[in-house]
Amino acid sequence: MSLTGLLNIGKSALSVSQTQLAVTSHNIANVQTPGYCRQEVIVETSSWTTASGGPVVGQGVTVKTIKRHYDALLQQELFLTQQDYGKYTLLNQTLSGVEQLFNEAQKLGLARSLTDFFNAWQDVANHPEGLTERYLLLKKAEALTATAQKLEQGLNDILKNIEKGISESAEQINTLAAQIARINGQIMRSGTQEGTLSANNLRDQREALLAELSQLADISIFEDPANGAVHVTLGMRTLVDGDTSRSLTAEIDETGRQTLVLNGEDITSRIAGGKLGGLLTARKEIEETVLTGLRRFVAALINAVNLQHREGYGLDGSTGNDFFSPLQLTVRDYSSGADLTAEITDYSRLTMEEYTVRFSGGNYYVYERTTGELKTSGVYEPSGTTINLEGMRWEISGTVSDQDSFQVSPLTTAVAGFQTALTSAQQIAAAGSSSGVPGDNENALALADLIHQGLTVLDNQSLEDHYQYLVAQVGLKTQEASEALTFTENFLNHLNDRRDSVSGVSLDEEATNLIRFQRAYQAAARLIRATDELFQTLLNL
Amino acid sequence: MRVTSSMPFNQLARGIKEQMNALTKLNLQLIDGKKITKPSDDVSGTVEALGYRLSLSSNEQYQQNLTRVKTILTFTETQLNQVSDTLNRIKEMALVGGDASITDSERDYYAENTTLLKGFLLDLSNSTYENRYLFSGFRTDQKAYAYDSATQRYLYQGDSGQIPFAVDRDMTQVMNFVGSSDDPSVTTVFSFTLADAEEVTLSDGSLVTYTAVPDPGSGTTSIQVTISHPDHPGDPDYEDQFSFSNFMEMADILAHAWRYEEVDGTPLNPSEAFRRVQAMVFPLEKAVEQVITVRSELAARQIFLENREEGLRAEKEVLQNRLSAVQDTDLAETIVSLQQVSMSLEALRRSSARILSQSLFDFLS
Repeated sequence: MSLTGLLNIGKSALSVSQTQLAVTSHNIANVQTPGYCRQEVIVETSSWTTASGGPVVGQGVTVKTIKRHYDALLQQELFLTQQDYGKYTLLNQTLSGVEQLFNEAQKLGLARSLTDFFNAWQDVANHPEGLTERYLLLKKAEALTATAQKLEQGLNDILKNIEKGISESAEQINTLAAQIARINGQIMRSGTQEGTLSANNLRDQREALLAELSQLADISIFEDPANGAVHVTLGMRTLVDGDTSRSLTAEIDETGRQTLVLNGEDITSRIAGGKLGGLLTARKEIEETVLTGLRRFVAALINAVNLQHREGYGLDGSTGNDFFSPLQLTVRDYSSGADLTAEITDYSRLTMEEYTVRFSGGNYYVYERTTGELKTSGVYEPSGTTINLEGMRWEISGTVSDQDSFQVSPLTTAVAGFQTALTSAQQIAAAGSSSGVPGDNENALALADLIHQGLTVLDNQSLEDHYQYLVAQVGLKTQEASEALTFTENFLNHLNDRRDSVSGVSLDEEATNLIRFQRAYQAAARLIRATDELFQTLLNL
Repeated sequence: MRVTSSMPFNQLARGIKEQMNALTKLNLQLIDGKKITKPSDDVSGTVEALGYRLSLSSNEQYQQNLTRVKTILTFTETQLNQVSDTLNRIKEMALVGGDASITDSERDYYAENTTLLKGFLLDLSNSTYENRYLFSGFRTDQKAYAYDSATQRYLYQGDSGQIPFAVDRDMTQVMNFVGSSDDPSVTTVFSFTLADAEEVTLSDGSLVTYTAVPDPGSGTTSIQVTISHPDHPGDPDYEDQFSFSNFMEMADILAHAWRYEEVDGTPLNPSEAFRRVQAMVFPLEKAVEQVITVRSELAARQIFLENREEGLRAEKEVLQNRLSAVQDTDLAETIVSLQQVSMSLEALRRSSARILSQSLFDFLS
């Protein structure tokens, strides 16, 4: 080997050490960078050559690749757990807000107003001719209606925030998707393959964005090995494809709720994870369990009190009066040209269910909305069809298609329309006999006892028992979300630790490497100096 | 496992967060004295506590009901004592004033006194408490009795209404007594009924028959009194018939008899009048017995109420204890837990400070 060859070996060693020092510095600099994967210079000896007549010697060292310490399976698991974490964080936050409305531990909620109202009936029973007791009863009734309406308002405010959160999340998803598509484009255009510093850094950036996106929705990620781009889908529709991203839009449907549309398809029902999944789950839980539960409770209370009150007689001799404004039916029309009018014909037969009317093959079908149980069916006459069902009469007319439907509910306005219907305290029907005698308290006692009586519409639970059930449901939902969050958070921490173990930077390790590569650099420099001295020796001959 | 630089920091942050959460929760429990601060802390505990609070609210209402009704019954009792005294005084006069040997001035005295006592009875029958007439049944806005000058009778204006009040869940107690009733099962204060016809023989051998006749029209029961003499059948001088449906009418008949007249002022001969006085002794005894019966029933109601009150107090105590056990913080336990968590937090901070402050870079020169 010539002396020049020695110099080349020294040069290659210097160059490799410099690269190693550069990567070590990069690692140290990114010790706190989220999503950063530790990098390592993988070196190899330069190609072998045969010296004439001598033994085989090497030509120095070269950088084979810059390895990015990364576990793809672990990263996938991390993305999935982040989706759950995003979902349960949101669900926990939202349901905690709902729980606070019903926080009977802090004497919030309806229990106090409810017992005050029924205790006031006992006071009326104790002194049925007393106007003071009657006025107090009306005041307690007002307090009860106001408390129930405040609860509903609180729930509606939370639902409004959820709707706002859905549109904001959709915007965030679009921003992140655009950024991911841009990085995809950079990776694709530069043709960078894994193993170079710039490609590694782009992947790190993209993974941080994907992690953020995973917290927002349950996306699926697939990396194209051909060009390094990731393909991201949401609700089985493409969100990011190569260097282009699609826009997720939040559209308001006829019920006032936001639906999520991607590539022209409604994917709302397919989103179950991430913050967005949490928002949609929270909306469903609040609407179907808490809000409907509260409305059913209030509707049962209104109806039970009214039915009993109608049986009695006021001090003015009046009878058949409703104590609270009676329940009203709300019809939602999802038809193109048909019309449904509904009225309550027998309040005692109301079941406090909500109904969906559908049409198929010239027949109508009435289902219980939440369970899907078929209640009744028959031939549909476009000129006018009358349906008598559970104390209601519906008239449907007009041409219908199989896509048309109606929803009928006695619950929708139960809380909003919860108010006393009596115009004077004299009308309070404390008496049970027709003579309107002032000392008769039979009906007042029956009304006072209603709080303890099992009601068919509440599955034979009493009002107080059903309210406890409602509070328990709210508590359980929150507890479930809280426990799921704790579990997911612990699991996420565990995964993060595992990821850090693989991909994280250890400063002690880097410090050791710094010394190692510094020494290697010094040794290479010494080699050049030694070669130089050899040259000097030769030149001085 | 490879330990990297961010791992101790992350673990420290998690540890501190967990300890701070525990510390905040314990602190909250100490601040408001409740171990359940929201339903999700303990769902079954929250529901249990809510159930106890609802039961306590009902319990307190039942106690209020009891207090109110006890007051009404105590007031009723004082009125009944006076009715009893008044009837006894009239009966005493009837016992001694049914003999022709009494002087005219004694007779006038009895007539005058009985008239006064009749007025007193009428006042008692129309007693009010908090502007409600006590003995009118459901018709608490009406005087129980009013004198009708056309018929010279004391008409009952109430009804047989029994006013119940709630003393517990599914348990009621009647709070009032009515003046009169056509229903023999209803206890009345100012009238009585007879299960069967009764007979009494007077000092001159006359036979008196008493028969109870319910009158659904007026909602009262009148006692028909028929006097005849077995030795003088069909002799109008020995035959007499009259009726009454309340104590005021009994007193009125007596007062007029001592004045030798019917209640409408029609003259009676002295022998007829004295027979009437003697014939009224039995109804007066029945009336006194009736008031005693009412007082016994009232006493039974009071005892029932006392027992219920005791029961409700005991139940309240049990409910409060259970509520406290479910929702209240055990101060000693919480403070100990608080100290434990504080110590753990302090230890975590100290150990972390030592570990995190060390790096190989510190040792390189």
